[in-house]
Amino acid sequence: MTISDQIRSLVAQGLTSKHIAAACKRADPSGLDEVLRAIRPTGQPIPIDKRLICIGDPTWPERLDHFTMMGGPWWLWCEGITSALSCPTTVAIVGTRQASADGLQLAYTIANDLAQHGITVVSGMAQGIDQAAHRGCLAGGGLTIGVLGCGLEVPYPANATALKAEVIAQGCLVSEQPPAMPIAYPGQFLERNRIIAGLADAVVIIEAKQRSGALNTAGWAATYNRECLVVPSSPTNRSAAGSLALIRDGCLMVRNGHDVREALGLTNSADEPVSGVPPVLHERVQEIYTLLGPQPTAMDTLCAHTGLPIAEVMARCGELMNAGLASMTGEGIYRLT
Amino acid sequence: MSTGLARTVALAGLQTIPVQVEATISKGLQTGPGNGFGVLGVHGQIANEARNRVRAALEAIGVPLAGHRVLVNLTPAAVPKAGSRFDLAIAVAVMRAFGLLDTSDDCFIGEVSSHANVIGVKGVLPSVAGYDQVVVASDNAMEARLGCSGEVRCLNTLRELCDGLTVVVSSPDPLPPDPVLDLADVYGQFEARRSLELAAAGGHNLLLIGPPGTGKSMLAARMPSILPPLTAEQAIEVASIRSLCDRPGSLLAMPTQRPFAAIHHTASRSALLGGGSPIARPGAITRAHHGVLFIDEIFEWGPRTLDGLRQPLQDNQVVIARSGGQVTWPASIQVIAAGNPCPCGPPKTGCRCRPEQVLRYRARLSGPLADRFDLAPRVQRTATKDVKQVEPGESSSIVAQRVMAARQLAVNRQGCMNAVAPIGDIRQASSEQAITVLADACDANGLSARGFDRALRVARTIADLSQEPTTQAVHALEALAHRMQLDALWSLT
Repeated sequence: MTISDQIRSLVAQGLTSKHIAAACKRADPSGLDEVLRAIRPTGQPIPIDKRLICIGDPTWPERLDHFTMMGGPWWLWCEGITSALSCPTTVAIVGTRQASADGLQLAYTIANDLAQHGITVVSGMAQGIDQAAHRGCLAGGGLTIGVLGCGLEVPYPANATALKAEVIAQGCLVSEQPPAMPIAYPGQFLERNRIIAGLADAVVIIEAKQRSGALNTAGWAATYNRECLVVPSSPTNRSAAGSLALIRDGCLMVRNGHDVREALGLTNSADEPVSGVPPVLHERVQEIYTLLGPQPTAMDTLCAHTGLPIAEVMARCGELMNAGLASMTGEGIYRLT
Repeated sequence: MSTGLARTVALAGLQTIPVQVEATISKGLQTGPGNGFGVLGVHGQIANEARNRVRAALEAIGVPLAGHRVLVNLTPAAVPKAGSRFDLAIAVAVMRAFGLLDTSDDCFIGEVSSHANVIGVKGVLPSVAGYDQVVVASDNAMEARLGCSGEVRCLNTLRELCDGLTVVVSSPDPLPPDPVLDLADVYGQFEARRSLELAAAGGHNLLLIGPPGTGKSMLAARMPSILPPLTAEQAIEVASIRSLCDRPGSLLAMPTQRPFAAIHHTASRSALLGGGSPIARPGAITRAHHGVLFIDEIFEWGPRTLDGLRQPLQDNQVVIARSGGQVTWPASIQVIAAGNPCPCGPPKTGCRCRPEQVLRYRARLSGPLADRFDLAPRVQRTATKDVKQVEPGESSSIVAQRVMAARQLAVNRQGCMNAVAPIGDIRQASSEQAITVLADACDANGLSARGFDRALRVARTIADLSQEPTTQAVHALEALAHRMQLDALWSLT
């Protein structure tokens, strides 16, 4: 019996990654065979079908092979274009669910740029940065891989049903959990994160909070020897405290898709795009425009800084918005581009 | 057998219905239900209470009830009669039947205690309009004087009536005006102040968004101080409602400032809209008639309670049907609501809510009701150093002048406020450039058709405030910024 057949039959008997960890402790093994012999699955038997791919299968991504004995996954449930897992370059883009408008925009444009250069984008299908990255990649015509913390058939995240269908059509959805597995224990998403890190050649972090899943993914990236790239943000942005800490710890800072590709050795700095020329504005609105940043600013703050009457400030903000240079969120006005 | 008559009045909503009390006495034993003192034309427990109070009071002043059977009838019987306001008229009718009082055309309103004291009741002011001679309790003397053009007399006990000691009430000396909450107390908050002024000038409904403790209630409570004073006609309506709702004797002068009724999310549907059994009483929206209804913590309300506002906001009145009958209360109101931006507050340490939690929280304000708001300023935390440094804002009297002038301009143009004016009139008073600004926003900023309509009204109000006969592009641009603030509430980028 081949290894893949052995794993397949163990998964059918209800094998989970916890059993593997327990077996590793018991047997203190040096190889896959020893662990397989030590494993005693105790879970519920589950039906398996052709969506299941295991170590040793021809479709099994080579990237994951190195981590078999480092806590990496042994099997994946996979729906969509399975070959996407083995494409030459993959980049994971992860970040907070409570992202700022700026963070979402960055995730979208970076994923879009990578997709246009034939790079597959991996992410976790979660609200916020993850979904923005998937959408950017889909719009750029690239392949994208969504790694789920629950089973493939479980409708989670609640708002992602349509996005999941798009991902399946233009990439694939993967999960280590059985297809019907709901969200049952807190560690599920942390286990998911190791797959994201394992499937990617580099991990890009946009807006991670102080204690966040994205930081956990960064940790796995370090364990698996993946490049960890961080997009900077304003220190006042609470959603980015964790990612700024990563930059302090020495992670490479990236500003755009070009920087990411350069970090992967796919391009060089000579190709660097010229940064956008600031728009020439009437001095009436220039004063306000200069004060705006990617983080939202309240009208009262603009009033206090310019000393202009509020009616004037709001009229100029209206002018900036109509010119497509600014937009409004719940907390105030922010600069676009 | 002898009879006595007395006139009194019942209230249905703010409508008066004349009621005549007929007392008949005959020789006989005081037996049977009511021990020989029967009251007809009043239903249920109220009849029983009135009978017992009046009977004890009459005995207290020495009316020889022993050996007589008394039958009192309040006619017409079909008119719903609630409260204790008929006691005095019943007592008078009985005393007249005994020949203790002369007959007169006086209208009697008041409660009688078992010790024969005459006590004030609610709703005297709307009841006495149109009567030439009115007799009320001393507690109600002032409001009866305010509401009645004829002679008003008052009394403290039933005995004064027998002895002819009732006092004629003369018009009161003008009272010093109530202390006014002034907008100068608010430091900073430029955007919220501007929105408050726009709301006052154009009749727009206002939604204040900000963390706890930033002064949302403080701002809202200052709205009446910048609104134009009540007209004489409106003042009578407001005074009538106060007379119905407040403790008897608390209404001493005609109100001049517009009313401000605050209501919190723990209130019931009846407290908000009016209700109660058997005859509905006015709710907060009626107490805010011709003034401001302040709805605090609007995202914490149950949608069922708050959605009851939809019809009254449309019709400027609220119709309440109960088993005891149907009542219509006036409710011409302007709404100021306040809410936290998210369920956690947020505290100074930052928001901990997930995005979907925030959206769910804000979605508790149902769409049709959310559409009623034109302005949603963000109320910011003012840093302590700012409170020390920033000079106080304009005082209410200055803002009120601008508001008054702006309203005048709107009324001269279209006969009503911008928030409710026909959109054709608003468009006619707008320049081509102003319309273009908002039309561009439909493409550039996803402004909806409704948003376009409402923003054009706000732009018109901005123009009115600067005394411009035509809405200019700059007014439309400011209105656009206000509108985008409002729309940003319901969409997370």
